Amino acid sequence: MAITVTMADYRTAEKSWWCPGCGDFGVLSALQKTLVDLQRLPHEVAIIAGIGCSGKIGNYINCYNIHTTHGRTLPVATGIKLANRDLTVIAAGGDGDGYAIGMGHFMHALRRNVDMTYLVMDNHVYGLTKGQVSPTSDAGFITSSTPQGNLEKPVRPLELALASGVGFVAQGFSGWVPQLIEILKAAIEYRGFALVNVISPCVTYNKVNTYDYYREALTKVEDIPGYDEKDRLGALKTVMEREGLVTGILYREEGPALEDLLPGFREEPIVSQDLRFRQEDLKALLEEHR
Amino acid sequence: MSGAKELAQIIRGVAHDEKGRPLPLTPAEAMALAEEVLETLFSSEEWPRMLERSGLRFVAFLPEEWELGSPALVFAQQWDGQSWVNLGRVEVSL
Amino acid sequence: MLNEFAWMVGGQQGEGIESSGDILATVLARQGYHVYGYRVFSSRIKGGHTSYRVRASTRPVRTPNEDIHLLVAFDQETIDIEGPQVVPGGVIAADSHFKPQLPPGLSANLLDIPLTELAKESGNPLARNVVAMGATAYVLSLRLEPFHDLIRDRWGRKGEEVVAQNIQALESGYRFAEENLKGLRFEVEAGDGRSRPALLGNYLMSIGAMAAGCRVMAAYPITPASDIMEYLVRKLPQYGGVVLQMEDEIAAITTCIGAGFAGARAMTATAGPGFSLMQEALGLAATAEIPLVIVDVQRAGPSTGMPTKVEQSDLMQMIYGTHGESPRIVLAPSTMEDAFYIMFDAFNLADEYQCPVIVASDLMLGVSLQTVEDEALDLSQVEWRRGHVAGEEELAAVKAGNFERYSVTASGISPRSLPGVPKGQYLATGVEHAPTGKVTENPQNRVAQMDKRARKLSSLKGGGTRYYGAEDPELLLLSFGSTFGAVEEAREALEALGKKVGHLVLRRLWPLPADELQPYLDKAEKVLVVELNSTGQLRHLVQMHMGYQEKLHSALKYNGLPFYPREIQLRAEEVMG
Repeated sequence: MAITVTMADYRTAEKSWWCPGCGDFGVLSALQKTLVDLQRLPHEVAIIAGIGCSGKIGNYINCYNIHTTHGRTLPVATGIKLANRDLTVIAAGGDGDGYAIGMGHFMHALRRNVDMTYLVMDNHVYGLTKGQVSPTSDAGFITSSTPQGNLEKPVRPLELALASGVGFVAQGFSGWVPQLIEILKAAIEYRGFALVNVISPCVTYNKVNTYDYYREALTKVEDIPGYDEKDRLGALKTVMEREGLVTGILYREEGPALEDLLPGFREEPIVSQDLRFRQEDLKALLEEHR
Repeated sequence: MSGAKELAQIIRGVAHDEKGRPLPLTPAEAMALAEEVLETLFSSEEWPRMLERSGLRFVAFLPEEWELGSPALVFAQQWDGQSWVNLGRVEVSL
Repeated sequence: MLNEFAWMVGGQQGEGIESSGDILATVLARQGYHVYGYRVFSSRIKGGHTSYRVRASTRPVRTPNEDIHLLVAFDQETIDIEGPQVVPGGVIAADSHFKPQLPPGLSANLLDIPLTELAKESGNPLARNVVAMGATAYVLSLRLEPFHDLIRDRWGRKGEEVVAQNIQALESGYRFAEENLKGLRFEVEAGDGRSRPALLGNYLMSIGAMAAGCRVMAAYPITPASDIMEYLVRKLPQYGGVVLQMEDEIAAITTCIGAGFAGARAMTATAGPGFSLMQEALGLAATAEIPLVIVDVQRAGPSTGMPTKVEQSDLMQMIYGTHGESPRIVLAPSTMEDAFYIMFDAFNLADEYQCPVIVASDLMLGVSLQTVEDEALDLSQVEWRRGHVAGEEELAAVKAGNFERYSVTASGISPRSLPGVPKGQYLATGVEHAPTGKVTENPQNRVAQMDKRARKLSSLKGGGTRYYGAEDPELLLLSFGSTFGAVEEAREALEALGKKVGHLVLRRLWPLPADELQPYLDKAEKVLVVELNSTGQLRHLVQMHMGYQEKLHSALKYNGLPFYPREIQLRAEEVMG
């Protein structure tokens, strides 16, 4: 008899630390629903969360969770996936975690292409530290650390990802949960690194990038006539022309993941293999140094 | 819908107009506003259920959206110049 | 007749210095000599004075010394810098090409030999070092056949012509030395004929890691640790493992933390600067109780310091590094054999105690080439212990989401579940957490979890401290790591002079095995702590945890060079008064 996974399996009894209305609630319920729709068993899912409001997602979802140091979700996720390739591996964090302190890892994870999903809850502000400017904050945005308005240009994660050559780039909006579920399903099923940037409004420190603002400003790619998710250049053009205010699967191209290219990388997960060593193997290794 | 009375009590004395001037509400007016807020929030299909009225913001959660097994909740909030701060929350049975 | 001798080649980096040393060391090891090969290189790829020293003996050698019997010089700088180390009656074989001059005051014999010319005549202008090998064979009375064999092994794939050229180069060097030195050569005792593998400590440590079950290795290139990554990337896939070169050391250590969380044995290898970058993540592994092995091949710091020079100055960082207070184990190998075995202890302890284990290697141990005895590396002596991993049976009774991964136990060690196993789900986090892993700042819980983590290490047994020498020593030498060989030779020299000297070698540096040290420290009149740093870190550590202030003395060196036995002997005599 097949085991049926339900929403209850992915819930925890934790009280939420998020503010009422936080976009991360939408992301959490979309993620739980996605895993239920895909019938993934909670013990076969690993979620790697960063530091920040979004990093608390691991407290609210019942699966194997690891909450890393600030900005390090992607290398931790890389280690987990390589050690046990049977797991569904999802790294999750905020725009500060991923695009400021973790930016170095972001660019390299894109080109390394390990089979995992990277879910960024992008709210354009630092929430947990009480409202400082973030790498994706709009120019001119006034915060406690930019009292004169943000003087720097925002990071453009979608453009960076499209330029990196990664095979799956998407953006969702936590106000549009059904679309987000479809995106997450495709991302998790994609073989390789999948970026899902989710616009997830901060309802406490950001009075500019609100739900109402995004409902007005965002366009779904399915509403753009002739949009082709296999056209990288077209995707880049659309994202640039629309200042990143577009949701859906922006680019998807099948190809081998790193695991398919690693020499000798076995189908059997590393964690299941016998790690003992034989004296004759040792002898052969020493022979090379004689 | 229960909870309107408690919400009206939170609203009274803090509501203000678009220019930030105090908006004195009679008990009956506050009650009417609270009932309208609850009605609008819980009949909405939008996520999240969020509504701005009379200088305040209201956010509603269905059971299980906030914490497992909780009742429906409504938060009333006010912008303090830096952030939205909670004025209070009420439990609502639908 | 010599029962040991030392040879050195020097020249500009990129001139084949390393391959010359490698050829000689291998030939000697094949003939049954014990060999210690030590390269002194600068961090430039080409240019800059560099040398390779080979010490060979019919007895085990574990350290370089200062005497040279034959110096091969590819440039004048080599003669000027290294010449004074040549023993009276020794030979300097120098390439005629640069018109070598013997500086006044040197008593060595100069063999002005046309290395470059003879190489050209052999048909292979690059074979200058092979010509030098021929001369070497003559001066050290070595048979030529083993060199022929090595030439065939090395160049056989390139065809008979290349082999013939190299053999001609070798023999021309031998003949030239024979004709010009006219019997001025060293008679050397023959090796025991037992061929021994000769390899870098970094390689043997890599083999040890692999044999111990390391299957995920992530690192970032850094001198002098890169050999470990480079070795494993070629070998580990054959055993099902994977090696990734990451974007930085932070990524390297966190990748290992991920793999450790998932249940693989994972390791990173680095040197001081990289280890500094890893500090924050070290605290995560300790707090989230994730097994992790870090090899720190120490080099001269601080900051970039001297990347190609030895030091043992990361000790305090290994023991106390990362903010806050967290458990970790620090182990230091002092011999080649132990570089192999210590990796088993590192991985076993990491799994059993669910904490980071740092292997404190150093440049001398890492990049020196040494012979090992085959039978000394014996897998029947090792174990693979994985600690308390909760399987499906143990987890069957757990209510969903309630597995107490961090349960407060008497030993401090809690059962660990691995992703993929039903009902074992939990949150691993560097945030203070309840037994279930869920975040909490409850004061009682905080104290319970801090104490639990600290308590884990109190059950550690057997620090592996070793003792050599007199029963009731007047002076006790205390060392760790690569200085072992030099300290032992100093002790033996002092013993030969009738002094009562003991030598205590620490293996587990942290937690400091005070119970193992105390009897020796009590007995000794004076203690000389030998370490390659400027502040006496080990001495301070002993003093801080055990006292003995009035007994403790330091032998320190931090000029980038290894300790030589004579230096330690002199310092010991000074302390003994």
